[in-house]
Amino acid sequence: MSATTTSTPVRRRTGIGWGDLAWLTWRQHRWAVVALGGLVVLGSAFSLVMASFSGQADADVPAFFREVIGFTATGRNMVILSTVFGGLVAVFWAAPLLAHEYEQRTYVLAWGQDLSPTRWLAGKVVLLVVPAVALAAGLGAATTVLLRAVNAWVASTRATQQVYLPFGPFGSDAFEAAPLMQAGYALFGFALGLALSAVFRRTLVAMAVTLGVFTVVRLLMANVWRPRFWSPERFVEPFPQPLDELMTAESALQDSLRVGSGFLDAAGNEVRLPICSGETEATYNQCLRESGIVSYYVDHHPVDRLVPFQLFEFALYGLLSAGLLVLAFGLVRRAYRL
Amino acid sequence: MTTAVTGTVDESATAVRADGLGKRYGAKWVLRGCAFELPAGRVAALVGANGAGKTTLMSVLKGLLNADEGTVRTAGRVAFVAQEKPVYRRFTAAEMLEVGKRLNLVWDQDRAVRWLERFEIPLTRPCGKLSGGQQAQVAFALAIGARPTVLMLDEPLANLDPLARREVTAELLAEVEETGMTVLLSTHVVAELAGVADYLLLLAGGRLLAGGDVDELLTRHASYAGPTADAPPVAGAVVQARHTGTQSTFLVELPGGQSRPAVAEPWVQRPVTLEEYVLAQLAVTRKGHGA
Repeated sequence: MSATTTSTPVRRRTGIGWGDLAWLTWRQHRWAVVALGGLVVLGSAFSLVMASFSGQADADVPAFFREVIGFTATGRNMVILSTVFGGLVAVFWAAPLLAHEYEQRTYVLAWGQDLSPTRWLAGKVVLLVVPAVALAAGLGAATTVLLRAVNAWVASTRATQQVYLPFGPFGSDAFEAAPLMQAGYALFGFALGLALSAVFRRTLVAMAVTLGVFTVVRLLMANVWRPRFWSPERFVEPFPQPLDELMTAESALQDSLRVGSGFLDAAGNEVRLPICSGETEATYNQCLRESGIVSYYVDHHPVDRLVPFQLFEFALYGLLSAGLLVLAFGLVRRAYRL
Repeated sequence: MTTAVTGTVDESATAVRADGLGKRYGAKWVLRGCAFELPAGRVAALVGANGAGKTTLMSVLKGLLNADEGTVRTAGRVAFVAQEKPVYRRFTAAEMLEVGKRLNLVWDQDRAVRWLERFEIPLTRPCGKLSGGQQAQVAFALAIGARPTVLMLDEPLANLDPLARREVTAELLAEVEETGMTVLLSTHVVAELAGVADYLLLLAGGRLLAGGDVDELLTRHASYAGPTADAPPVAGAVVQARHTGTQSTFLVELPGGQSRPAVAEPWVQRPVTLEEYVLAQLAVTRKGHGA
C-alpha cells in the first residue's frame, strides 16, 4: 500500500519561526492565558469605569455603581487582584511549563524535533513573559487610576482639613499597584515558577512550592527589606506637648513610609518610655520629664523617595528574575545538549 | 540535532557511527566503550536484556543525552520515538501533525497522514482519548512525517497487538524501501526481529556484545547436536554449550570464511536462527563468560 506517490510536496525550510512557536505556545497555554487575561481585562475595565465617576456628585453616579459596587470595595478588590496577579502567573503559567512536559515525558517529543531545547524554551518564555508583563502593567495602571480616584472621592466627602486617605502613596496597596512594580512581580513570578518547574519536574510540587516561595519573598521584601532600602530620615518634635499639636505637626508625615518612633533625651539618645501612672496630664508629663524625655521622634522615608524606592525594588526583582531564568535555562541545557 | 559528518565518514554509506561511547549516572556506567558503524539504509535491531542500556544508547545517539566519553556521528536528521510514545494528550492527532510540521525543517504531511489513515486513527479526537496503541501510531506518524535520515524507535512494538505489530513492521520496511532512511529499533522481544532487521547490535551490561550484518552473522555460526561431549565436532569458538541428558548442543562461531562443515553421524548440523543466536549470546552474558 505504501508505494503511493506524494501529492503535496515535502516542505523544506531553513529555520523554525516565531510564528511556529507562537502557535505551539498558544495551543498549549491558551486556557491559562485566556482565564487570567480575561480576569485582568474585566477588572481593569471595571476600575476605569468606577474611576470615571469619582469627580461626579453622588446623585450623578448610577445607583448600581454607588450602592451595589461601591468605590472602596472596588478599590480593595482591585488591590487584591494586583497583589495576587504575579503569583497567579507564577503558579498557573510558569510552574507547569517544564514540569508538565517532564511528567508526561513529552519533553522528549518537544525537544526531539528540529529545534534545540533552549530555543524551544526561549520561545515559550518570550511569548508568555511579554503578555504577562503587559497584563501586569495594564492592571497596575488601571488600579492606580482607581486608587487615586478613591482617594479623591474620600477627600471630597470629608469636610475636615486633615483627611487620612485610604490608599497613601507608601502604603503597600498603592506602592505595589504601580505599573512598574506589577511588571516586576509578574516577571519575577514567571522566572520563579519556571526555575522551580525545572528543579522539581513535578507539576503540583512546582506549583505549591512556587506559591509558597513567591508569597514569602513578597512579604519579606515589603515588610522587612523595603523599610531598610535606605536609612530613614528622623522627624523630631519637643515632648511632651499637647496631643493635638503633636498630631498636627506629625501630619506632615502623612505620605511618608514610617519605620519607627520613640522618645529621646536631651543628648539625643533613644529612651524607653517609663511606666508613669500620672493622675492628671500634668503629673504624667512631670513623670516623663523626670525620666529625661525631651522629644518624640519618627523615623520615616519621605514621599519624595517613593519613585526611587520603586525603581530599587524593581531592580531587585529584575536581578532575581535574571538569576532564576539563568538557572532554568542551565538546568534544561545541562541534561540536554544543544 | 544534526551532527556534522567529518571527512572520515562516508556520508552515503554510514548512517550512525559511534566511537568509544560511554554514559554514566553518578558512578555507575550504564554504557561503556560502545563502538559501531551502522550502514545507511539498513533496519538495525538494538537488542539487549532489560536494563542493558538500549534506551540510554538511543538517547545519546539522538543527542537528548550528553555522552560522558566518546563521540557520535549521525548523517543527516534523526527522529526518535521514545518508549512511552509521548503525545500531547489534549492535542488531536491532526494537531500533533501540526506540531511536527511547525517544529521540523522538513515535513511530509501526506506521508504522516497516510500513516494515520493506514492504521485508522481518527484525526480529530484528542490523543488522550486514543488507546495506547493508537497513541503510538500518532507518535510514529510524527516521526515518519519529519522525513529523517535516521529513524530511532525505542521498543516500537511494545504496546501494539500482534496484528498491528506485523502491519507496523511491514509499513516501516516499505518506508525504508521508499525513502532510503536508516532505522534503528530497540527491542527485547527477539521473536519480532525475524524478517525485519538485517543488522544487529547486541547490547549487554552497557557494552556492545556483537554487531553486524544479520546474514553474515548467521552464516558464520552453526549449531551442532549429538551425544554428550566436551567439545563440538568442528573447529571454531563455542558461543554456547548445552548438555541435556545424553545430548550436547553447541552453538559454534566458525573460523573466518568457512562455510558450515558437514559432520559425521551421530552429529547433526543445522543453521542458526537469529533468535537462537541472540538468546545464546544473552544467556552467555547472564551466566558470565565462564559458562
